Amino acid sequence: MVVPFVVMCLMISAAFAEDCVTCHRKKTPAAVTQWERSAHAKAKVGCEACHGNDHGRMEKGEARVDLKVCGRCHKKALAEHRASRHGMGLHSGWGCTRNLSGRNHNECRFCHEEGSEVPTSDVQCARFLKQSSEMGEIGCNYCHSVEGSCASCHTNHGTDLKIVRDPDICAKCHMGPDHPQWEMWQTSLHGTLFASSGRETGPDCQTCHMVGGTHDVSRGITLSSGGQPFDTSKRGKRREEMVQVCRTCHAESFARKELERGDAVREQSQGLVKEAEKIIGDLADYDMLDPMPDQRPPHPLSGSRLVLDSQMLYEDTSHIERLFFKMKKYDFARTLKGAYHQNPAYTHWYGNAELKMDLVDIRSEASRLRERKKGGVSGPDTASGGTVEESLRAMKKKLERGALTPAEYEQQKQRLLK
Amino acid sequence: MNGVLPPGATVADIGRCDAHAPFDLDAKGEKIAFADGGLIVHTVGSGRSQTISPDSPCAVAWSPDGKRIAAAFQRDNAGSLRIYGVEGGVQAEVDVPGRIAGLAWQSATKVLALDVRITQFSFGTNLAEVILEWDGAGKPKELVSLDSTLRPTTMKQLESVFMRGLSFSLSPQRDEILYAGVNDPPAFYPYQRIVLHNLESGKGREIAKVSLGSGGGTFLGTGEAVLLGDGESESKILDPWGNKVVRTIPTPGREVAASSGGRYVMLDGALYLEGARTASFQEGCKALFSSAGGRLAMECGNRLYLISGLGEDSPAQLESGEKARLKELRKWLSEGLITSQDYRRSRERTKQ
Repeated sequence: MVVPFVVMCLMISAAFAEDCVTCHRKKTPAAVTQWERSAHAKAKVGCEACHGNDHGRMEKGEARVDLKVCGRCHKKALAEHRASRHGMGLHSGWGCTRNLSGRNHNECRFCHEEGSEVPTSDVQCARFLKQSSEMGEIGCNYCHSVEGSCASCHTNHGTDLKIVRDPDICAKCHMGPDHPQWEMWQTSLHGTLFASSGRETGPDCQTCHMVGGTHDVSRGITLSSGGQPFDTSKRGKRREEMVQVCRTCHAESFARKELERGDAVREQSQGLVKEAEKIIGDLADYDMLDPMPDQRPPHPLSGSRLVLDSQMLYEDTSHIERLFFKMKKYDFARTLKGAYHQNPAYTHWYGNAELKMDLVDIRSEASRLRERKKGGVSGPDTASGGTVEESLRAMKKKLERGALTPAEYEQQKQRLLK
Repeated sequence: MNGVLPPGATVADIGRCDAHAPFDLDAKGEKIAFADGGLIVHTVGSGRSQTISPDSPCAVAWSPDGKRIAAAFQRDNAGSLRIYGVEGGVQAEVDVPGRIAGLAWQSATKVLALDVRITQFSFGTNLAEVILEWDGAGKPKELVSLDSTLRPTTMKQLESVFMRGLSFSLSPQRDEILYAGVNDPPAFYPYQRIVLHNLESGKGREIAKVSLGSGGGTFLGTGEAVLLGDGESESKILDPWGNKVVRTIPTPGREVAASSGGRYVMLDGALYLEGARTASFQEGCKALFSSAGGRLAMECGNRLYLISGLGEDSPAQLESGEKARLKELRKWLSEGLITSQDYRRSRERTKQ
């Protein structure tokens, strides 16, 4: 009889498992118990199949089971995962810490395969780079490691699908001030119906975002993680996918109308964010931020440049930028995600109301900074140009950041010089 | 001398001086400070020479009011800066790390100095040119520094440049300096970078590259044009912001000087009046015009001469408002806030 190679490997792997289990039943009993109850054990996929047989490397933590190990058998799931935001965008939580002082060299494995100098992604995250090694591991990687680790949702040794079919598994990361989707769902009509009547009546995260068990959790989502809409062609396709999901329960016209309402809320909210962004940009043009970017520790990715995009920081910044961080990262996100998750309180009170109050605070802080400048605390340099010089400098900054076209810049400059 | 001097101009032999002696004329051209075994002040009218210091300076400059003299001295690898009263007596002194290659008074109280610091390494030399600002009290402030690494062969070539002093010139409005830095790129010829540095904004810009043999550059007129020698074949009068050549003169410009009114230039020992050569002296003569116009001091082969009666009036003094506006516009220009066209348009409006 010819025994297929894979089957033979699994048989050997199962045999080796007996050796591991003897010790690990004492050393890591939970791992052994979970494995013994798993589909892997039933299929005779033993320890060595995933961990290899180099015990030295395992002890050093160098034989972690990442998604490529799982993907050797779970090819479809791997492909879907990689096509999703879970599999692609989450490297935005990481960045190279090589040049930072006092780093733990073990953290190189966040991004590098053993022995490789090539990072698995070139996306950097300024907020990650500001953290200590320990904070980066717990505060960033515990969620963002979902990109490379199936265990992030499935657990290390269990294979019970009950865990990943429960919406509570999503709560680990999809909660908190910046993107509380789980809480939005839980307190929406969908979530409350789920709690009272079960999945048949109230859809959960998996119902809408993992249709048919897909690992592509981004199907139907029309925005980037920063709330920016995709371009028209991509957006149209994604919207159709989501409408099809909604149609499982709702009329198509109802579904479209609801999603379009969400789009409108997003656009209106974005208008408020843009207004705040303009106020801060204008203040920076006149050197009115306190402190200005060149008076603070340098931004890990952009040095002394003003950063208001997705790489903005909540530390080592001015007060008005800190207000803007809350506005954009928390309240804008809550408003639009609240709208798409049909949660009235998140859309309005935790989102829209906060967003508008943020703008009040930002306008007020901007007035204070302008008054302070006029008051002479760090007033115009009258000896060398006064306000004309400041205006020229501000106009140049506006031109450089694209807030003025070259024609507008020239026109304004000539008017000023006259 | 070959050729003829302009009508009414005369040459007087002041006397001997040190080889490559630094010298400076006071604003009116009535007194000359120079080195001749010490620091000497010669009064043109009386013909009297007075020793101010027994030490020979490597750089010297009159204060704008003609009441004080700044002088730099070299001792081994370090130097010193001193301010003297016109009748002698040290009013202030400070040690500086390098060799002072150029001096100028930015105002009645502040002296600017080009301090050249040389550090030898096995692979070559580090040349740091540091512009110092000194108010006669405390330590000088470092305004700007240009660093370059020079190969040993380049350093040898530079000896002659150092002997005659690196180019260092202050604009008539005392708001900009023109100085030369050295660059020695691997596999290329070394050259001098002529840098225009605005003192108000602290911004500098390279306006030309010239050979090591060049005498560098100097300001003309109100400081809106500069005279540069390329050190090889021609000298140019240049608009430094628009990089526009106003006039070309076929002489290398190893020694350059320009009158405050801008009508006269002295290049490589030849005197030019509005671009036309009128008289020539020894080729290596180093010259300097009085800022009030009409006089020219010249060092040729260990002797100092004075040419008077050049017939150039003192340049018209700008009103304080116009002067301030001009400085302001030039500051903006140096920062890239306005273009040279904007500058000229605004300048015209100011005149009107």
